[in-house]
Amino acid sequence: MNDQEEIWIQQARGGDKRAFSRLVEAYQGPVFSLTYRMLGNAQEAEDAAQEAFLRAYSNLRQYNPSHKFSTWLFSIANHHCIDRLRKRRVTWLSIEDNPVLQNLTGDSPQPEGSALRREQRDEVQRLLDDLEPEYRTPLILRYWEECSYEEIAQIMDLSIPAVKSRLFRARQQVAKLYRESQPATIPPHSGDGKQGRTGERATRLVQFTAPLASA
Amino acid sequence: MNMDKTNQESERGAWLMSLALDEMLEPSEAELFDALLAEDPKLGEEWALWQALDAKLSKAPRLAPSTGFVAEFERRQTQRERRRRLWFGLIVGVMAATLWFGLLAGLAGAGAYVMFRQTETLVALVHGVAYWYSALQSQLDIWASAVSTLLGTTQVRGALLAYVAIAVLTLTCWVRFLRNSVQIEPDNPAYVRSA
Repeated sequence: MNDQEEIWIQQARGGDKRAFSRLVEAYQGPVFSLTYRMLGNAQEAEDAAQEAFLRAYSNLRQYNPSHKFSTWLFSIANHHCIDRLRKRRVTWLSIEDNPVLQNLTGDSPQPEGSALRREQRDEVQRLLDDLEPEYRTPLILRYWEECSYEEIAQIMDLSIPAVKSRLFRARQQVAKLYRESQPATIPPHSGDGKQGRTGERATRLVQFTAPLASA
Repeated sequence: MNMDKTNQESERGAWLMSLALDEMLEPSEAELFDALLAEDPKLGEEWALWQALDAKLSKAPRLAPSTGFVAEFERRQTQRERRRRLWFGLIVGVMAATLWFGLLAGLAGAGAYVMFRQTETLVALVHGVAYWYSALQSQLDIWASAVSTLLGTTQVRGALLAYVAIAVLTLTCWVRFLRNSVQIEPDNPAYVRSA
């Protein structure tokens, strides 16, 4: 958390709404990313992200400045998403109706690149959607928010060994779900070429051809 | 039993794979993991799959909300505060109205009770008030007459003037003393001279 954010937080705690709006602007992306990965539905994710920020604003006096603001915010967003998942009724949206397609950050895509990225993102989201929430959260925080084990533990109110265990189970489940969803037994193309284990890359490059996602 | 041992080893291997992906292996764990990879080709395949999935998840793009997210937040914030003020106002209004009508009803009830059930008490009350009023009036008249008689004598007038003069002098000295005790030093505005 940088100095400017600390100033905004202090001002917001003093009742300055504009200062809190600046914090919303700074964290809207990460919070929305978390809620979308948790809920799998863009409209609901935006609503959940809005609600998370409103709750954070209402409870700003309870924020402990010795912890990172992002950690506290993600904790609120995560708990809210879990509450929503418990109450949820299943609604189905077609992929073409998904407004998030308009809002991918990163490179401006060529049509083929855009379709491939969309396919990859939908595949990833399908895998996440089938995970239990308690396993989905640490995975999202690790991969998309780049949180450390300690930060994940604070957000989820767990011990570090519990976080390791959850990540392990989450990866096991993702691998299992991926295998079940693929007709071939060949593992997917790993992109960079990897070998061995920690820090090294596998030499086996296995070409994987995924069936196109149906509309 | 062999099956249990195999399952245990594969669980252990998977646990080490998860730590390896996060680069959180201790040196002893790293050695063990290398040994397991060398021994078990299935673990090697699983490791390749996990690495590929790790890359896939890492490369999945970050998402952004729709434009106008902050404006929408501000709108909801304002709406929520308005609603909270409205509820607060309603609750206070209801409580005030309840108290007001309760008080009115209580007064009306008490008045009706006194009027229709306690006529004698009311009469006695009126008599008492009238008596004490006239007693006070006559006492005041007596004091006024005594004072005016005393003020007619020179000695009393002189004593009264002397008393007033002494009182004024004492008050003046006391005010001066207090003022001097909190006076600020002209050279050092931060310094306050004590008495």
